[in-house]
Amino acid sequence: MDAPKIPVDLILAKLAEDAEKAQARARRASDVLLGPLETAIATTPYDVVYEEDRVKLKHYPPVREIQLKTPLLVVYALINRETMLDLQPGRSVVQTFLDQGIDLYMIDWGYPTRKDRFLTIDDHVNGYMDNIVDFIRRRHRLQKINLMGICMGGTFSVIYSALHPEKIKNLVTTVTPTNFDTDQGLLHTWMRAVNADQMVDTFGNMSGDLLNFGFLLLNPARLMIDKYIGFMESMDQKDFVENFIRMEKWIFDSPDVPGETFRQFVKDCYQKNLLIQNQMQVGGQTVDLKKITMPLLNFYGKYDHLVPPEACEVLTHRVGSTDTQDICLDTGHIGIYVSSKCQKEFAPKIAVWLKEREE
Amino acid sequence: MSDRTPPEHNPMADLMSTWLKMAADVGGELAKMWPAFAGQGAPAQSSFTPSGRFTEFLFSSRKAWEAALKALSEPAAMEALLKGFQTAPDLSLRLLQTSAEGFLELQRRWTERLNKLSAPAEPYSFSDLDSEFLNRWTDIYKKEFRQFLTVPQLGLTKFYQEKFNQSVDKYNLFQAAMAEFLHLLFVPVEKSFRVVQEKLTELAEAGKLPTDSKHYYQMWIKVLEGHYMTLFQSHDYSQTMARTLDALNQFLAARQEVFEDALKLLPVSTYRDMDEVNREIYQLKRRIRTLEKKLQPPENESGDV
Repeated sequence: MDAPKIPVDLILAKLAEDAEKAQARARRASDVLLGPLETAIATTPYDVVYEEDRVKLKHYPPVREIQLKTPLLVVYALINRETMLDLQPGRSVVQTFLDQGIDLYMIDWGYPTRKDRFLTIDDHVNGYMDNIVDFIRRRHRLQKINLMGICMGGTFSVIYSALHPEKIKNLVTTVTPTNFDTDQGLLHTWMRAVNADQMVDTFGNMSGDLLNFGFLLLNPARLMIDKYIGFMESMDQKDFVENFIRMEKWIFDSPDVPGETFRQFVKDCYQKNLLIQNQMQVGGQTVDLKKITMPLLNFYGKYDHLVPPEACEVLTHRVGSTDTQDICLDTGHIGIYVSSKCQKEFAPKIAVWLKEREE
Repeated sequence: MSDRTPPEHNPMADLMSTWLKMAADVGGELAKMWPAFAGQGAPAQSSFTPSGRFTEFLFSSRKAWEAALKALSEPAAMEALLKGFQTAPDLSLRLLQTSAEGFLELQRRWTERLNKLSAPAEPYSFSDLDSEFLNRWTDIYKKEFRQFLTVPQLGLTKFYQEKFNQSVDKYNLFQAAMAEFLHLLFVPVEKSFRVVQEKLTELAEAGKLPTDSKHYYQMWIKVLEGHYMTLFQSHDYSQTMARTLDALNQFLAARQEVFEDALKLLPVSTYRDMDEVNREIYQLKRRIRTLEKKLQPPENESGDV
């Protein structure tokens, strides 16, 4: 006798088995979810050593003898928060830097309110960033410090290094968009269609929730469906649940972006691509990438759907520095900082690269 | 019997004349009673006090009332009045006819507008029937209904009413744009189900249907992701998204205008007020920072800063 084309009996048997498993999982999950969970993020101790308006400068006390005389300042994006670099023990860029003996500072941009809507890129770069860099230089009695930028914070760091090259010893850019003329990333395509003037005039600041909704729409099948199906399948595992919730905490902790900064970033970068063409004006000065003469290390993700490789890899060819290096990792936008695999390839590599350039 | 032919007897005229006389008497008596009731002897105690002014007004009203009724009681006036009554049915009929015609005309126009709604979609766009309906509705709203909200307003509340109408209009346009956007977002879901169904048919025919339900889910999510990627890279999607965002912005801006008006009635600052203050503070801070930097001592060469 031939086998049936539709094995109804097998399918039903599997369904029954799955239902039993799901029931058992739900029982265990209820214990996990109702029990104590360790979901705190950014737990590495730090001191706030400088404050200006909503902006704070975090300094992480060393956990071992300092290996680099030159401190490292990390500049995060205005979208989401810097807590991503210290998501959990074992997946913490901050912890890795401290273990490597780096004297680490990080900018916390805080939560912009309506009063911050007029702050421009100039205010962030030549205002807050410059004041912070000067503060660290004075504190360490140094002419130059190391600078590392992340995503939009990387773009700010590139602009800063071009405008103040005398204050930066080494520049590290990670998933940093500088060439916006690409169709690789949906964000680049969509931003060209956005009426930034109208949005800023209406909203004042650009709502973090609205931006987040836009990011979810980049891949709704995975980010709005599959992710939570995955959660349901593993919600009986305490570690998994804790990590999942930590990530959710970080993702949906979205400060608004100051309106005028958003306006300029969208119009000058996404729509006119002025930065890479040395035509962007910040604080009345033209940002000339040729003035970036310090060593430059440029990281990006091969599967980054927000800042695709094409948006990052041009930078090293446009700067004035002769000591440049591109490193493309097999991961996405966030994976660089949080994936287990990249914990070994990313922060330790930066530490080694900086040590090699320390006199 | 007298030869003199009495004037044409009109019972209606008698009735009117009696009623007018009675009305004049009652009105006059009431007016006379008022000062006593109000406790005032004469109307001109003080023409500036409210009660004095009121009595004065009452006296002059009484005089006018008496004069009018007297004039109306005269035979000639009575005749004209009665003539008016006699033509009243004609007048009512004409008024009714005009109203009915106007109503029928309006009804005809409305029916025409509704007919446009139910007009069939183009034969070649059958698969796109839903979006066709959405576009048609938006089109009809813009061409027909919207005009009612843009009728020029008059009087003291003109600007307030116009702002309110504007916000209603922008809300409707936003809803239309949002419906179109959501419809577009749902297209990949629809298509993915269809594709998965076809795949399953093929697998069933080949006797290769997976027994694990997870396989079905994985198959569907992969197809769905692919369809979304195709949609998101399309020009249509970017344009629809931009239109929806524009509509949202315009609605929020129009709504804000209405809120600003409402907030003016309350003892609170509006966004506009606060933005002005914030801008001034921002500019002052920038000036102070610039001056501070200018006053800072220059860095020395030894590395100390």
